[in-house]
Amino acid sequence: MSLAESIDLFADTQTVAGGSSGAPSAAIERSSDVRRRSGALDFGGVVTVVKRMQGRPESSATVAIVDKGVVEVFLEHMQALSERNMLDAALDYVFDTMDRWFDKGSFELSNRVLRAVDPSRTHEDLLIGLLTISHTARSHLTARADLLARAREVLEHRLGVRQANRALSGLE
Amino acid sequence: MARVWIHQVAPEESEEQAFTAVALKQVGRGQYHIGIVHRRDRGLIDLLHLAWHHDLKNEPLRPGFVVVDPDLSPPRARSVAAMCRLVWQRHQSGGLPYGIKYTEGRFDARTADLLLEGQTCGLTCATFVLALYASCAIPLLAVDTWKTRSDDVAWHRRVVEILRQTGASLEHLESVEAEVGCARFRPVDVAGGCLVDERPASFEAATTAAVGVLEILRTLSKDGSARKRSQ
Repeated sequence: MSLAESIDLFADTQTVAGGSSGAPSAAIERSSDVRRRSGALDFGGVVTVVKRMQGRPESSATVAIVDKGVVEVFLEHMQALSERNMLDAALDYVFDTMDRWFDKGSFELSNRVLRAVDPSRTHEDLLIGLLTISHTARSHLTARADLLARAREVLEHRLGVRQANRALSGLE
Repeated sequence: MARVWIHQVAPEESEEQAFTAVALKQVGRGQYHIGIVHRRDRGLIDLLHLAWHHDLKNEPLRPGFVVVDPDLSPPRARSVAAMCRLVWQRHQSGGLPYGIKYTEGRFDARTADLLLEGQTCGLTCATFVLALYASCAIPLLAVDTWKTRSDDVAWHRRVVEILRQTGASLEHLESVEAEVGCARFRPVDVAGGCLVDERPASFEAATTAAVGVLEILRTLSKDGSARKRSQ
């Protein structure tokens, strides 16, 4: 699934939270509702996204069932906003979501996100944002130090050592 | 590049890069107010500030503020702006308590709550700015170097009195009264600290740098003329 399609999923589809594969049912929530209560993504399992195919009668709607991990959904959404040059929206998404995860004590989920971040394909502002929002919770985040090291390597390559040091100052 | 300037333009969309800085204004004789200006790409410049007890505001920056740029790297500035939006989102309805003692408070990323240590019971406009930057791992001032000054206590007592007049709870009043006599972090100290390259700025370095900011504020209060100064 492309990143653009994943964005469309958020915009146009319905999401079943917590299921592994089920068909649409009363348990279905609109994805906007799920995202509004972003804690709903915080069950450490799988989000099942049910995509109604456009242009077909609802009674016979063909659905594409795609199981996506919470981590993958988070990172794809962040990257999709970034690729649309919506960096501030991407940062708001990262700060808001991770802040809620921390609030709920979901540090293992946060660690999985930090481990899964690929600095080489992540905008430097988002790398700094991830390290900033995770800074005060760092004692709970075993994966953060490794992300910091990987981010430093990439930032030194992109910005030079001096600017990388400046950008990372205090985030250690 | 200018690190201090007088903001003269009416709120409008800007095509410039996202940024953050501090902005302060004279609000009375020897009285100044400070907040954090922050902007998205192609957005308005907003001023996030603790106006008073449980009165946090986020509003377009009006002309007449002196803006002081702490010269952060662009990615850090963008994250501070994002933190401003998060803190505003979380605290716009309940605001934050007003108190006069500051011991490196910060907003906890675990809860977005304000964390204060010891007997500290709230923030001033100046320590709100310190706490927000500290939450982004940017300590503007070396808090443990701060000194008490002769007129601090008079200002503390005035704060307690105004809190009393404006209906603060008895419990909160007692907590703030217990803080009277502590070192005061003034708005111009924070602005001065933004101009010190070696962070966190010591008391001596920040108060020395603040002299230039004060001079601009005094000039502004005299004539309000449009100008931009480099420092």
